[in-house]
Amino acid sequence: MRFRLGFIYSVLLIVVMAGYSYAQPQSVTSTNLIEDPQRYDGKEVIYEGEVIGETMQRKEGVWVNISDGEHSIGVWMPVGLTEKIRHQGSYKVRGDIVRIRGIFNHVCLQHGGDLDIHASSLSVIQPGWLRQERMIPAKRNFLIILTVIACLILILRISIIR
Amino acid sequence: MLLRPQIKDIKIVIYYLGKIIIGLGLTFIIPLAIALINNEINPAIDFGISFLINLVIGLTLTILCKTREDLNWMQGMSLVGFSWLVAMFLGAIPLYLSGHWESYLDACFDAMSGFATTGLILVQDLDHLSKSCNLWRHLMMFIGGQGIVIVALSFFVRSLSGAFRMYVGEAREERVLPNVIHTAQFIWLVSVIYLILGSFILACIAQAEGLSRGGALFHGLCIFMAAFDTGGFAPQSQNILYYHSLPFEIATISLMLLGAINFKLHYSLWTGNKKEILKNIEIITFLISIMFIFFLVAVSLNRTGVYPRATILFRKGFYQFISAHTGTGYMTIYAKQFMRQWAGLAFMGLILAMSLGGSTCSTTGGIKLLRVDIFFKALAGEIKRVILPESTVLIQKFHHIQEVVLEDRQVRISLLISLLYLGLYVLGTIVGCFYGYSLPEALFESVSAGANVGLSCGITSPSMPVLLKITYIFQMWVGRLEFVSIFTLFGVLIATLKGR
Repeated sequence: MRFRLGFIYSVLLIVVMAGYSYAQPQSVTSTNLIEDPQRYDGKEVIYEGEVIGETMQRKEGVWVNISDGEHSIGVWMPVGLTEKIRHQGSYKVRGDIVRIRGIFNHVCLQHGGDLDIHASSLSVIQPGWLRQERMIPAKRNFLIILTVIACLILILRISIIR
Repeated sequence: MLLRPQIKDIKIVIYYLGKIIIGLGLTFIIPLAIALINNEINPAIDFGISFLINLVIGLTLTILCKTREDLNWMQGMSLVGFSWLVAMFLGAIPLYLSGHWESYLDACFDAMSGFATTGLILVQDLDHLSKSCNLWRHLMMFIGGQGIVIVALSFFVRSLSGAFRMYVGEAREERVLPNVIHTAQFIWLVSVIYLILGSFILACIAQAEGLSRGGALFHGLCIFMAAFDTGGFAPQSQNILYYHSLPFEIATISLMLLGAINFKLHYSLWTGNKKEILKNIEIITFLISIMFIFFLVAVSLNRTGVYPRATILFRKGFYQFISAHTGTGYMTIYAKQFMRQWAGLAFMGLILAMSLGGSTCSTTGGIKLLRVDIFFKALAGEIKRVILPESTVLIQKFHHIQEVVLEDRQVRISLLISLLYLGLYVLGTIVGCFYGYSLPEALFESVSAGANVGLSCGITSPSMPVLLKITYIFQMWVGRLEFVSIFTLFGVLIATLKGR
């Protein structure tokens, strides 16, 4: 009897564990989503990457494009979630690295067939920063040398014309 | 017997090349100004260096080879072929200096892709590229679309006959106005007016879709230059998918179609001859081709069931299709999705649309619709000749701006150019297959490069083999100039080596 109960409990535990792990969202990369979209279609996924470009607010939500270094994926989210985003990646800014959880759509019916994620949560795992641009001395020196050469040639040209 | 070109010939070519280089150098002032306005220090230096290198080379060449002689056909044609190569090397300088391209070859690839209005890219981390460098990418498309030599024609060349020879060398046989320099100026005038209007409309849409005012203006300007010139570059790595916007897609489709129309037809419309659009043989063929090939694409996509709704199928299918047919290369799907989801007929339909291209004397690449028309007219004529009595004199006509009588010479040239394009597509496909890519992949990418389209199924990347990069550069160059000036250049080189 004790053995039977133990067996039933073990089976139940395995089923619950399997169900739990199945229900847990999978961590994915953009390459996974683009190259094997059917596998994740309609499922909850976790996706990490840098916020790039401007966020675009629409009537019912906001588009945030997130790049994991391979590709950028469009993420649709409620306005409230974007309040945590402070830096949007551009030439002068490294965007926030965020982790989003949401439903992946291979062909989103709401958004004209776009491949996207509808996010339900967002957390900033590494804040972005403003890039300090420093002049590269070698380039500056080359520019000065070229300016001198160009001036000499211009003078030569003007003198030939005269 | 080959005649070796004389020193005088080389001097004339180099003198005009110097002028073209100065003209190209002056265009660096625009991104330089943008860099200064946006306080982008290193990009400003990069554009300063590029401007000065152009100025130094251009002035030196014009001083050393000063001449008052006009260009003959051989000189004009070889000058055009050579100047596009030189423009690629010089236009790539600020790209390479930015550090976003792995090698100088990669920067040259993107420069040729820009000038030839192709749209294939090897840039890395595009989303962090400076605004000025990004603008330069799009400006290359705008300059290349109108014709690099037209820049020089408009400002530096006074001689009419020499100018016409360079104009023809850039694959623009038709003169809009009797004077070729006035034609070049008209092309610029039309382009600049469209640029102002188109950029404004795109900027308004972008702002309405959530971009900031400054961002919307920048995106509007860049997208206009690449869409109207059927180029295909975009400021962000996701291309048009970045905007997630139907109005933006509709606007870019309209611009792509405008860009695919013959400039002479634009002139007719500008001068009030609106009926021309209904009679023009290229427009009629374009409409038939769009309906027929898109029908095949849509049926195939419907059978695969990738897009569950008809509206979605139309939105995704039609956008990629028009982008392919006009030779633009804008995408609202990811490159890898072509191979994985657009199987069979849809994939082949895109290849067919890319290979045909748009109108002659437009910025599209490929075989061009007028040549397709001439082929079918000639075929119909041959069939009629068999059916009709032998004594019948058959005169065939078609309407292209005016009534044109079909002549054997036109048929011969059209077929020859079409065959050369097919050969160009085969060349890239063979090299692609040599490196282990599947035939459909290699064919798709090769046609995209040779017809100056820019759609990619994923082959084009910084990690692709060097020989394949060089092959695609060659295809973009030859495809844009439509063979004649390139063959003349090679002929001159061979004559220099082997001639007497």
